[in-house]
Amino acid sequence: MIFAEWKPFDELIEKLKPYKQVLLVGCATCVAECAAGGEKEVETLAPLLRMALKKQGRDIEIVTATLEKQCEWEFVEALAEKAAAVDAVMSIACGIGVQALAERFDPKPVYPGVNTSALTIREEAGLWSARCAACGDCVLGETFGYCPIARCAKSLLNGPCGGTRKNGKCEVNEDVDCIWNLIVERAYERGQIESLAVVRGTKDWSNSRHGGPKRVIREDLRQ
Amino acid sequence: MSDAAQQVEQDPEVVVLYCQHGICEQAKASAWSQNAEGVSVRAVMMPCSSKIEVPYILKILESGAYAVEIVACPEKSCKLLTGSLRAEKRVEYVRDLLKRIGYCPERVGISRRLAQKPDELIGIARSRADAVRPLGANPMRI
Repeated sequence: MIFAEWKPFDELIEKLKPYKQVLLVGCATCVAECAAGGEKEVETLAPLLRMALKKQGRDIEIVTATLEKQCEWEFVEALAEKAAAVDAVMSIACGIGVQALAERFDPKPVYPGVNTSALTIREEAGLWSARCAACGDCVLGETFGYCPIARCAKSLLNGPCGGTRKNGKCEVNEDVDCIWNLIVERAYERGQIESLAVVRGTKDWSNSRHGGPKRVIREDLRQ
Repeated sequence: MSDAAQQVEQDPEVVVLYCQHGICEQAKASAWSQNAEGVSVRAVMMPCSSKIEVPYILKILESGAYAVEIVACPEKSCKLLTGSLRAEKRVEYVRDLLKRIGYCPERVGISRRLAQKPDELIGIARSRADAVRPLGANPMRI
């Protein structure tokens, strides 16, 4: 899922200060799963913002809404009436949702309430970890299902780096597994350790962010 | 700005959210209010303290309540096993959020009790009111 976290309160409050009526919008998809931008988080953040603003002597009306998906125009459209009635919108969806609202409701100011930071899996309740970096050139088939781009601190294609701790953790963070240690262990388990002796060449980053803004066209799906 | 600078209320309202097992059988009621000496108590019975979600607590404070007290079962007495533990973690989370917006976290507290009489719940509410009295009124009331 796309992972996001609330921005610091000071930053949120500073953005809302100039307005009288603000619409706080959540998204019931990825950011709900990571407990940052779903309905529950909207209904948590709204009173906090009202209280913080009131403490600073500002009476700002904050109305709330949560869309099923902020990244689909059909769902965004449902917000038209509420968006028209406010001075500004704050979205706690991922950056895609924020941009969808900004585009649909232009020139209404739309502010992000979260920082979108990773593509994660929920390992257990209250613990998420990055599993994909959307690098555009997947190597999981060569690394036994572990992603060295998202899960190695140095994104090494030919690991491990030599800094692996004796307990198999990363030298950068003792709570995180050295992913190359796991790759090597799984290669041994499968009797394929020799496959890791192949030196992987320079990675093609042109299909990631480094290749410029992504735009995909599928003629078979177009109208 | 500290809440201490704010005006002190005359009759602070403390909202008590209590697990249905937190009150004695004879006194069970879904919600009740009582003005006692030095505190106005608004009590709401919950099926389990784990049903008390973060937004509930914040909305009560936003509405101007002086403080919120959760009465959960003692550890290992919770009928849902980890319900009271969940409630405690949520209270800690809310207290941290309050701190981050400049509110005094003591406005939210948790007690672990079983089969309390209403007078005992009022006593718990009074203790919470006394703990936050130096902070003055909830800034939402001013």
